[in-house]
Amino acid sequence: MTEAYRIGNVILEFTHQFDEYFSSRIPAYKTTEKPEYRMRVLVEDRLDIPTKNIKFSYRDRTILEDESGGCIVKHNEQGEITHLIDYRHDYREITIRLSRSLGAHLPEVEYLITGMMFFEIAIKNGLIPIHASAIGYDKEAILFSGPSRAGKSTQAELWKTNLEDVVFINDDKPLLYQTDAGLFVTGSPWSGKTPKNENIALKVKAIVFIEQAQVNNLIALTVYDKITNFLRNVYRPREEAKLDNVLDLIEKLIKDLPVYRFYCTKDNEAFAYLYQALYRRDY
Amino acid sequence: MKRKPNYILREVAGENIVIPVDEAAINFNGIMTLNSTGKFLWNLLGESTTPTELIARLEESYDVDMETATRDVTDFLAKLRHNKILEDE
Repeated sequence: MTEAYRIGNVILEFTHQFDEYFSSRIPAYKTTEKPEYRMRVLVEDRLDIPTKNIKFSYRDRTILEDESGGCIVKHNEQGEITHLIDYRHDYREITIRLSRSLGAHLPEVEYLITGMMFFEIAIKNGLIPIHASAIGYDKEAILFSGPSRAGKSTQAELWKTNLEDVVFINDDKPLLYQTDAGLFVTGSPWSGKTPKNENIALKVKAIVFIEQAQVNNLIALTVYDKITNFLRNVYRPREEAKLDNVLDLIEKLIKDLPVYRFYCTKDNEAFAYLYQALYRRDY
Repeated sequence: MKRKPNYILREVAGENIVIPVDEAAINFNGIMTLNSTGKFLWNLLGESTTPTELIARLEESYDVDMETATRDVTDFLAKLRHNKILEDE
């Protein structure tokens, strides 16, 4: 299955092998524009390590590089290669080779690895993935961010239940970016466990780092807390050159956006409390 | 001793932040913030140096007594060692 997709400002020709994750997540992003990036997935019986220099190894991964590009090699516990990711340094060409031995895990591995590589392309293009559930309401976006199991999707669901015109922009890694008109968020097909994503871009109204509590309380964060929360929750590229893109955006987020910590319950009271705080009117 | 490569110091919204990159980014997912003394020492540790030299440079540049400089340098080096950012030669 090969198609061109526009995700944010990235036009990607994408070849995937399995439909389990993508059939519900990706069709909305189809485009007829000319792709600037190409990512394809192949399933092969045998994977061989390319002849490149070893940059470093860590646990089950080895990173190789030469002047043309890099290769990430992942092994299983038996030492067999489970996947190889070949990429040009500018990420214009990415080939992901999956071992057929992954069997029933192939669709999930395909979804996770293509997401990981897409995020590298995104960051290069000024789109910063943040671990959050993003909703759209009243032509603006609210992001619920925080660590896994903090209840991000629960808060997003509460808004959807209580308000008619709420849309899920992305339930796992929405993409933040800045323009002259302000800070925006857009969806992508990589939305975590759920297919909740929308091919729309909305101006960000607020970012809320959530923490479960018995009583609802919204506090504005200090600059230091904003930095640490953003750095913990944005997708951080390994390479120094791309890290600057992320840090520039974080600086902008801190300067221009309301950023809160929301100690919250998991029920409608949390929704009503936050709605009142953000919109200065009772629900 | 000197600090390991693959850690970068950046100023974000007025805060000095140490962030791991490349191999260090996989091993260490945290971040560290530095005050102005920490930033001064961090920059000196880019080259091979000794605690005695760091104390002397701090005394000279920050107009602090030896006791204060010694305490600041000791605390800072302990923080780097704790985060495995320092390599002894």
